[in-house]
Amino acid sequence: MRSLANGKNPVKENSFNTGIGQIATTFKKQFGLQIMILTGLAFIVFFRFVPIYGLQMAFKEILPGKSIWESPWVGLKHFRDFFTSGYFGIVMRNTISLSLLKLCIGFPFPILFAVLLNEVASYRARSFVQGVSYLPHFISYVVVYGVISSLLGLNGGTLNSLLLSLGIIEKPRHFLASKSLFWPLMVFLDIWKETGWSAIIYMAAISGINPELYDAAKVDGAGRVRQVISITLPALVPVIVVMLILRVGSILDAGFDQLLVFRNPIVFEKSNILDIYVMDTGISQGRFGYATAVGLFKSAIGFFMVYFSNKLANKSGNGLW
Amino acid sequence: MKQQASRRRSLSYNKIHTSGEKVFTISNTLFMMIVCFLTIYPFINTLAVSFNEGPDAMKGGIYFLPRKFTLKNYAEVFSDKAIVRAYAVTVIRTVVGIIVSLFFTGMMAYGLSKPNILFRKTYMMICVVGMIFDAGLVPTYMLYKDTGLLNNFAVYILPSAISIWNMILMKTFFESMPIELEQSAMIDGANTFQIFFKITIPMSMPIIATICIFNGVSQWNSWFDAYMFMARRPELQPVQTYLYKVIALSQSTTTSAAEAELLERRRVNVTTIRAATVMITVLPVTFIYSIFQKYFIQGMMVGSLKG
Repeated sequence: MRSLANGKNPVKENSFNTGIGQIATTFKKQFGLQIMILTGLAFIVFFRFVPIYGLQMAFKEILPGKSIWESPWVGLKHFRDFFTSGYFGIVMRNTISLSLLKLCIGFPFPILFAVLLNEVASYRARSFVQGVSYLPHFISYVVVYGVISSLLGLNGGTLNSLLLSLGIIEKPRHFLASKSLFWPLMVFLDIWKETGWSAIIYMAAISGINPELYDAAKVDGAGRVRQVISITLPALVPVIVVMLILRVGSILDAGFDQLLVFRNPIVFEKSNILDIYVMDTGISQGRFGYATAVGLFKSAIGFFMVYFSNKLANKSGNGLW
Repeated sequence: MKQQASRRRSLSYNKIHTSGEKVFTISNTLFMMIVCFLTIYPFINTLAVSFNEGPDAMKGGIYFLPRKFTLKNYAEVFSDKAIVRAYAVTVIRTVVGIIVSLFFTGMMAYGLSKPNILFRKTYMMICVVGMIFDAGLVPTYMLYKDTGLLNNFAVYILPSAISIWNMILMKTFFESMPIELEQSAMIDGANTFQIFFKITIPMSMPIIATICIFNGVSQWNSWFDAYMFMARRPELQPVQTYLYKVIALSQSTTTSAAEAELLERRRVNVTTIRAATVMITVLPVTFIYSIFQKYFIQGMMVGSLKG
């Protein structure tokens, strides 16, 4: 019996007699533990479930001076407005394209990094590189902007100075305010910030590979590259599949805080993703009903995507829950 | 970590004998050096700019070291009451946030780690749904407005009091702990809370350190919640939000009078002062990070191996 809760009387608890009285007795016995759980659960219910009452705004016209409950129902008007507005196409295109770009270009990097790092012989060098690679994960995009703008800025930006002195460009370019460079920059920064951190799970998987496999391969005359291709990569396939499935589940998250920090009027049409659109219309313009509808559209699709991708991942025994 | 090192395959006496392997080793080393450089260089550059004189920095060309060294930028940052106050808010919200979150998350994880707890499945299902369903920004805003959390310091602390993800990490750790000690304490008449605080907590330092780092970093880095939910009380906004407002200001085309004044005051030295503000924001994280690194890597490994 591992349980503390039923340590005193295991037989009684494991019996199939689960009448109300039985439940009450068990509950009483576990009272302390139940209080611990219920306190936490109260927070979850309050902050994650109670806001659901606000979702009715998606079907209502919020009138000034009236509460959510008093405002009149308008059915699916807000959804119709969103789907027929010119913004729907732009916002969806931006969200999905940027997200897919980050997925397609960014996804292989942590795998490559983990595999190559594993080939570094010295333990100290390995931990040093690993430690350095995590660092950007722990700073916010606000700070990233601060750091990047001193590199890419227009006046006195380091990259501009370098390119000017090498004669590659004639006059300074404003890298941060360029429509064509905006998406590539966002993808690059996403890779820069998260590669080391995402590599952890692959490192964990690599460290679980039986070293004898490598020894056997060596006896057979396999070189290091051969060992990577024939042993390390195949061992990573299950993890890669799961990570890919889970990543696809969050396809509508294109990087809210990143774009919020890096957007500016020049790149406006490139940076307008679902989350940003909800914030602009809802909080800034005060169109609560409309923004709630757009947000609900995103949440609903997001929920099912994550739910089903996890189901899929569970098939290989590696889901998140 | 050490165990892992000894269990690794031995690359060291895998003597480099073919030219192909030599090329591989050299290019791999080169690759790792480039990765490290690309990761660290932006910080070095910003550090150099933050120690340089403002007007001189506008000319560009500062790569690794400041050209005209000065401490004036830091002096200006620390003499700006708004920044110092924002910094204090950051420190306070981080400390309070860590304690509150650890307390509630730990207790919940402990309760759920007991396999025979009543309604365990239901509780876990609520947690998972809560984790993946997001009501959205506007309903959350309305809830805070209706319950008085808007423009209230508690909005930094209470919503993150339970992090479901961290709770599951802690639960996994507690489940792997031996329970003999707890059982003997129970026979001695200790109640659940005494066991939790006197026996389980002291034995759980690796996971507690991990969770503290995660909470601390996320509190330290938060800026959106303050920007969104603390709009009316800028004096209670943390330093990251302050930094965001400075950035947003320099990007926007139209500014109000009050904002224009803030901008004007800093126009001459805007690059160097921003660099100095960035540095004082990022240095504590880097410092704490390098001290506790090995703990949370262990914690993360445990979490990700859970499967």
